[in-house]
Amino acid sequence: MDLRFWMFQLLNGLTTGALLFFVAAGLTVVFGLMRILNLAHGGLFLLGGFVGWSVQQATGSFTLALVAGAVAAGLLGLILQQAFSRTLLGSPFNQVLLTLGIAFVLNNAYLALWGGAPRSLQAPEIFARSVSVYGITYPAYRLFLIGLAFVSGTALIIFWERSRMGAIIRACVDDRQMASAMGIRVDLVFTFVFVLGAMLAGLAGVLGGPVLGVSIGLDFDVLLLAIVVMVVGGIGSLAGAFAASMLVGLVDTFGRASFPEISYFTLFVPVILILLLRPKGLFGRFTGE
Amino acid sequence: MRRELLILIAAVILALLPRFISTYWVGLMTQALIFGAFAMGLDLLVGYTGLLSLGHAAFFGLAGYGAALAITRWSLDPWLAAGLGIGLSVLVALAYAPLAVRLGGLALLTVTLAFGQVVWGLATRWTTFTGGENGVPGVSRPVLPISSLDIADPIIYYWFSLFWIVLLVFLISRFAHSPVGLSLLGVRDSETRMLALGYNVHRRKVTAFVVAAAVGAVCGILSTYFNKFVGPGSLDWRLSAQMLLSVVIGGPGSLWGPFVAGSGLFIIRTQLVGETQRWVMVLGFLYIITVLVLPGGLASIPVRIRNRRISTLPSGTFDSTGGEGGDV
Repeated sequence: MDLRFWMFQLLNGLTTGALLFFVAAGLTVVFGLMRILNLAHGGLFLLGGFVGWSVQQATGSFTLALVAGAVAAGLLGLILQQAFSRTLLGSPFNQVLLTLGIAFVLNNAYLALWGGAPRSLQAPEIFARSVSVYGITYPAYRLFLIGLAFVSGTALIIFWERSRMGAIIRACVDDRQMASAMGIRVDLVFTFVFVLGAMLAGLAGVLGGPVLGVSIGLDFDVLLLAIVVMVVGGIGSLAGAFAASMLVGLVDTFGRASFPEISYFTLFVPVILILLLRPKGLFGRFTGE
Repeated sequence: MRRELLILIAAVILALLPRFISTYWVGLMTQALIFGAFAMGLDLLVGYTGLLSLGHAAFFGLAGYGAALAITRWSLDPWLAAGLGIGLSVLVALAYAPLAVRLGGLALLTVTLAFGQVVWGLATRWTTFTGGENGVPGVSRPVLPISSLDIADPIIYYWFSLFWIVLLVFLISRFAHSPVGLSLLGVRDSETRMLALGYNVHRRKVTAFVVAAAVGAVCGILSTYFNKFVGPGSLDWRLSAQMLLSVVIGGPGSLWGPFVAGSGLFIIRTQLVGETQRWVMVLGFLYIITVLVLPGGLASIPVRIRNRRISTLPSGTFDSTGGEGGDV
């Protein structure tokens, strides 16, 4: 267990965290905004991955794959939100039933369309090499992912904290009724956020392609981790989602590397403790009640 | 009395069933009844108390693993092992429920999910003790006190399970209609009012959680002995989801609805798995359609028919389907 091993794990953890952030951001803001736990969010992630894979197979371009993956997931998000918005706002029973139903349908539809074999995307040319960082050799693409997460995380948080649109969204998260009384079209805000969240998830699907691959079942794995991130970071908090993504990514990676036999323990026990001792999450202002 | 009579009639019909169906279906029915009872127990928590759990497979699987490991590793008698397994589940539930039920709504949903994953993770990763993905095979069934009855016979095992399930259903029904059971409905509908009336709401929630876990544990034992095997599938969050969905499809708070839905979903699922690769999709659509067409679940059908007959009354008067509840 020398220093290089830990360095390697640290970078791996940050890579996982970077991907998680893109998925969890949409999940947590949608939950904060409308109290909707969208269990089909992993399906949006995987759609991005599969569409991205197909586009890359056809054109060879990673950039096109990114665009196509994000647009496809965004469109699906728009359709889902428009078709089910009334039911989604109903009782939690119906929400769980509906979004889980959608998740199963999507999962099986992908199996029908793309088959069960795991796919993998090629990292873009310029990143398809390794660089040495502090004595270890590490894939450039993963470093790019970490950098991208930090840049877009900062951008999103600035948008969230400083822009007028961000203020409107935050107002809706904090008090939907009051925001509505102030003349904010909460329904439009919600559609915007839902679609943006879906696009981010789709983007993550493509970005994760060269690292995690694209395969059936990944949708649920990613969903579980994103839920953990949401809970740890605090529902509806973007900064919380960012910090928690990195934390969960690191804990999961170090857990797997150090205690492979009980690696789920190392990930979920802290989550349970955080929830029980601090139900609002690290940064959150309210619980999911 | 009417309730007990209905349970008795259903039990007699079910007991006679093996005369009319093939051995394959006897096995299928055994499992279907087990999942029906599991869903019915969960309804006490979800429908009665209004608390959502996406992790009760943990108690189903814990009991199964407890018994299976006790039998195969320490060659304990299967009867004792069953008691040990159920005891393990109930103890874990007792330790964890008081903390968990402080959360409500979707937060509870996520914490139960996380807890379920911990147990599942232990079972799959701690391979040296739990057998990992391969599970624990070679679990022997208990020897019946009447030596002429051979429990290896599928029909005898069906009757054996039926006996315990009827007992469970009877106890669940008694519990649900007892003062404690009825106070759970109060907790669901208005927690503040129950607090003001001097009820210990927290304790009621814990009770509902642990009772649901105990029912799940008994079902887990029956399932493990049926398969003579226990694997991570019995701890999978998808099993929890299936049970939660059974409750919702059956009609939360109606008890019989979740039982029927739990059994029915299991049968539909096994039949579809054989027929088509698209069964996951069919199941998914079933959930979506239920929400859109029948939000109150199966149990709301009689109410709906009644409503149609009394159409002269202002709409909404009879609209309580007994469990849409749960404050958002």
